[in-house]
Amino acid sequence: MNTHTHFLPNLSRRDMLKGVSSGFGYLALAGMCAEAAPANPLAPKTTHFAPRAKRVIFLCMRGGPSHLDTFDYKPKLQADAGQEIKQGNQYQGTGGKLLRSPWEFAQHGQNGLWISELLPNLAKHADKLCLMNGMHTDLPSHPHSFVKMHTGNSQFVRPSLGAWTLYGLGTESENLPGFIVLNPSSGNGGAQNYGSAFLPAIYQATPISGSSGQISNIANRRMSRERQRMQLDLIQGLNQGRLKQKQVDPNLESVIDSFELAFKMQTEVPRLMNVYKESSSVRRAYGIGSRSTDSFGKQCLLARRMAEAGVRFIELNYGNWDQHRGLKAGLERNCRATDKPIAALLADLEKRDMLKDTLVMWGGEFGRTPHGESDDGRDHNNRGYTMWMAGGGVKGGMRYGQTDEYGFAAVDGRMHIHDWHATVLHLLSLNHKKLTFNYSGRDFRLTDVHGEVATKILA
Amino acid sequence: MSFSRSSSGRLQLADWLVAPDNPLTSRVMVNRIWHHLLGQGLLKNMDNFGSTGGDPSHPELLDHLALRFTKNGWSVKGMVREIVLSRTYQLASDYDSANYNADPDNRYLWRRSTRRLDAESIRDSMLSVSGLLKRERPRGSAVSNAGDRRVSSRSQTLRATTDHRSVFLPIVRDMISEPLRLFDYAEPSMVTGKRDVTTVPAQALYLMNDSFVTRVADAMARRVIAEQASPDERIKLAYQLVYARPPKADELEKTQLFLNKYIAGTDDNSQRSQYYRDNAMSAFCQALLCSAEFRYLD
Repeated sequence: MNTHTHFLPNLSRRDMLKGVSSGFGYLALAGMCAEAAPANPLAPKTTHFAPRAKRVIFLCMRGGPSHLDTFDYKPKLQADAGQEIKQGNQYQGTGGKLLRSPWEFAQHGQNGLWISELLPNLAKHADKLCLMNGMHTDLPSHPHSFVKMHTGNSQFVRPSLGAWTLYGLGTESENLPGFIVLNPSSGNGGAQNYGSAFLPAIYQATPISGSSGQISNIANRRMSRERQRMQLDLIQGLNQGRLKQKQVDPNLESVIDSFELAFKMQTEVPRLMNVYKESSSVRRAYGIGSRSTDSFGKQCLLARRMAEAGVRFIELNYGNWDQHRGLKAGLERNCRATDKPIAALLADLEKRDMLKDTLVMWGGEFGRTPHGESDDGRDHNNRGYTMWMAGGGVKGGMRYGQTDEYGFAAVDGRMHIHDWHATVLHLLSLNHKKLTFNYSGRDFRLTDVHGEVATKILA
Repeated sequence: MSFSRSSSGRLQLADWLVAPDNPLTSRVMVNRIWHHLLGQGLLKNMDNFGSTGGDPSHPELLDHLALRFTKNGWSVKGMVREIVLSRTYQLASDYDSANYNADPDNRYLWRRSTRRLDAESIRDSMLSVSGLLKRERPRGSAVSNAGDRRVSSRSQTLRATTDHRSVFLPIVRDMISEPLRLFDYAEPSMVTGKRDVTTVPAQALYLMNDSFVTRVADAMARRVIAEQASPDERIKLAYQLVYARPPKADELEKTQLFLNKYIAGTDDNSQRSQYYRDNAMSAFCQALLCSAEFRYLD
């Protein structure tokens, strides 16, 4: 059995069995019945130090949103637009003409953060945002960078940030998975981005497709609830008979529990996933019902409901931000679709006093080049881009790090993916160097042998 | 060991792996064979035979088997035969309180540990009891037919499955089909000496609600109805198919009660009532397929 070097509560087998019978149905047994079953791997765990963020909502913007047109104001880029520049790295072209941003930037909030006019609603929450303008990653290719953003590694299959989070913290929701991804990507590594790799499989994400999707197999199309209960009673009767005969069988107890939990989930999960349970004013605030904002608005509202219900790590997905062409139309469409819902989410979390311990994060796998790929497009840029975080112990109204005068390479407060991961884990009260798992003879961690916590952004 | 700069070293690596004075390869292999047959290795750790990997429960036995393995020409079949002919392999899983108190984890193999079937066996067994299993090899391969394209553009054809054995299902990284993935199929991108065995509600939801399972249950119901005339004989046949034993008296009673309750109030000729009368047997068959005994081997 793989050893957990992370802190786990010390339970006797008797305690564990008691816990299982009282309904905490998730139980991953790494091995067969004969082994000493470990304590419930999803039970909430004590952390390395005092908690700030208790849960994460990751707003994943697929395709590499242009930081130069959203959160990274470069007046020199505007001034020198049209000039030829040699730029790029060994993986891409050698540059082109500097392309000015078609949009105006203005200062927002108490600290005058520069945010583009594409995001008027989000700009109102400038005092909550920590803009990380000095992000950088290793490669300007979607599959590599998307996977690296999620797992810390682009060459090998590694557990995702969400899986490490669950491993480190457990979950607070009995009826729901601890790690949920809405509208997951099927490309760019697909399931690998949300997987558990060598961590116990129980820590992988539960995917929900689209904004109106459901957890797989949540509904029975054949039987009424009463008839299904009759069937389940027969199943459990058979299981109980076997348990009596075997006398001791922790596996069997957890099978019995898991079926009861599944039965409960059949009504609870659709209820949770039903945004129409919210008042019309709340739905309107998120943009639900309006064509452009309906889809992502639903995702954001679902995220808030899931966060309330105790889900530990929620990832939303919106794309495509890969504007090699059609920058103007594409960015306008993307921002229109997401600006209002995200702002509503922040406001809603704040209103429910949840923002202080919910870490909200926004970003894509890389940014875009200051030089144009045409006169209406930008190429990939891994050397410098922007992500932002809010809530969960992060300083608001802050700008951390910066890129060069044209917004190409991060020059200051540089934050690599590993640094971001280290910081996220730190905000979740986990020491990225101590959150390890022993696999194949050695200890592994999300940040490998890298990563520095950006202490300056901690509130 | 040395080799010239112009060669790759692979031959030398191969020689070292099977060198007579290298105990590692044969011990690891024998441990894995033992694990596959008995549900747990002599050394629980499949991958780490170093000093941090723990101790084997029966070190002399491990060495003995390793030596016999190499002496027998590294024959996997030969080693399998030896192990399954042993007394240890043939032990039952019956509980014994004295033994249990002395060795609750069955480290010293006083009985056969109950184990859950792996994902492929669960699916194959469902197809088998329902009579749906196609035993011949399928023609062609969905993966090779998909050609050289992005996986997502072909996901429909790659997900489509026939009723052939699970060993013939297309295996595409990051797109493992649900019945395999849910029951802990090994992640194709990872080295996996030992699969997880999870028990989660997602499995229960699948067994209770998925259309593959209901199709299997329907076919199984048709089979028992066709092969036996009386309700009780049909029930007994169903237990025999799924559990390889007849029902106990209380199980038979529970089943009869269930069937009666299920069709209670369906005497009218409404479509709904007809529907429930028609699939009562299937609902019962599905219950057997959902129960633990079907997928846990004693």
